[in-house]
Amino acid sequence: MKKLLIFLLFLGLFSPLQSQEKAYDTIAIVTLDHMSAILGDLVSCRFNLEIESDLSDPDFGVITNHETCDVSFDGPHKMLMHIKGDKGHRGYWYNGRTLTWYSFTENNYVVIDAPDNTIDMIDSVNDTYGIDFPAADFFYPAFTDDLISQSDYIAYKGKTRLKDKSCLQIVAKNKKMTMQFWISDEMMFLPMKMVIVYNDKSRIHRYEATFSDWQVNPGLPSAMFEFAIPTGAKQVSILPQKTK
Amino acid sequence: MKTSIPFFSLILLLLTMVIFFFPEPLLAQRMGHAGGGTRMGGGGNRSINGGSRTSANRPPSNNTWNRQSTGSRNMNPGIRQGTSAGTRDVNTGKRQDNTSGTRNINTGDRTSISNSRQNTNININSNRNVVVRPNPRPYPRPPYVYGGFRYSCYHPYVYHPFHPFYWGPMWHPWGFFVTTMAVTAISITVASQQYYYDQGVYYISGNGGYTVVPAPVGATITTLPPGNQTVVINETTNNYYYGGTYYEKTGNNYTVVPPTAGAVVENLPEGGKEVKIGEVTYVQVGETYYQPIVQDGKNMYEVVDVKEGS
Repeated sequence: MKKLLIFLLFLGLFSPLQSQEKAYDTIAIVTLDHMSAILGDLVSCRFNLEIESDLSDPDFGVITNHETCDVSFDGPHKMLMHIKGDKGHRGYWYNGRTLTWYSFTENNYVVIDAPDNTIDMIDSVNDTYGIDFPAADFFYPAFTDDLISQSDYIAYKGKTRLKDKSCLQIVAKNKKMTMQFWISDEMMFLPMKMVIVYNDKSRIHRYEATFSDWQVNPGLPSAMFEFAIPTGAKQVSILPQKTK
Repeated sequence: MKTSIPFFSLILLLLTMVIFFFPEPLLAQRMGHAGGGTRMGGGGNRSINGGSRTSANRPPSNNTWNRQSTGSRNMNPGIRQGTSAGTRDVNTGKRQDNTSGTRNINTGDRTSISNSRQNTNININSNRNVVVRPNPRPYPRPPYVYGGFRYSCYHPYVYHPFHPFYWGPMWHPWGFFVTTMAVTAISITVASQQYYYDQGVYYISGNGGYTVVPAPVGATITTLPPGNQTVVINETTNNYYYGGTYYEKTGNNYTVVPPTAGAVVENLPEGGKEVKIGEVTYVQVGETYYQPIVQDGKNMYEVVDVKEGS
């Protein structure tokens, strides 16, 4: 029995999974923490996003999907997103109680009961319905810890310029993907860009999100986070993903 | 006392293996996030995400990145507390899962010719294990994949709003209730269940009257109801569609058959409802999903082939 236990313990300690080396660069971690702290101190914000996704296509190999997003957060439980792109125009209104997903293209909407704070709402809705909120990763309060837990390597790659602004570039990697982050090196350490390149190219090859027009702590009226039913809009139901 | 040491060792071993073999937290969004427990809303915290958090038990980091490849440092992240690996504890609140499972269809009273409806709780199974006959023709495009299911269609998705169609005054949707049966109705028995058929509508008796139900597969009639639509299934087979029911010619008769994947119809009956599945809005009629399409410039619906898989 003792020999068996020692063998199993040996197997657990020296398995291939465990033998992988991990490395986290201090400058990268400090930069990410600083950015995360600044985002965590915001009481409201508004920004634009340009999203490009390279997706597998049976006819053309890879095609690029493009979307633009106008995103607003206000306090811990209000969010508004307008997304326009190849899949039409859609909006998400979150008021701390419900998330409404309205398709401007189809003039129909879905109302989903949601948790009482934005991050839990994003997590819950993403998990249950597969709805993806662009670049929401940055806004998770434990962003750096999450990245560490997901990455084998996190490195600071140096200073660079993005849209005439000085940025710090950080690269993280695991078996499934390589993630790159550009964070503003100016007064506010705000995220400027994120690129994810997937090693498993079964569906998506590359995801790129570029931030612009940051507004820090703007005064946003509460009413803008309440969905007003447009004329003729129809409420439809939504099917959750298969139980995992 | 002797037995406690191996037991303790076993627990230690199991914990070690859990930590080392299953380090990946659950995923959300593009990256992985532990999720849940964001501790927001209380104490007047107005932060958009409750304020940033950092773990006290992070693995060591080093600013001499280029030297890390020597492998001399122990960078095992080990056990992190509070923020990352582990189970997700998200308050998902009350969800609007009003699609799966059963649904109640209210019924009306024919004799009163009013819309006052009695709830007879006709349960119609509307889960995703749909009964649709597969079509052997290969699909020209990959399926739409969502939530562990593949949705295949021959035509591209072109959304148009669903408006239920009425096939005339003698046609009634599922769940409709009448107190008396028309004298022209005929009795049909399928799988030991007695049905009454009248002008394209199937009823079962109960609750002091008759309730409209989905046409039972296998029921045979001699004459198709007027206003039926011919649906081309393939080079050799046609279906005949009326009121949400598909018929196939068998000798001199017509037999109720399940819908065939790829069948295209112009109208769907009351009782159908639009349901978002990922980014696509289908119309669900009973157990069948229809994709809105455009064919020859007309708004139509195609029966979707739903299969498990991703």
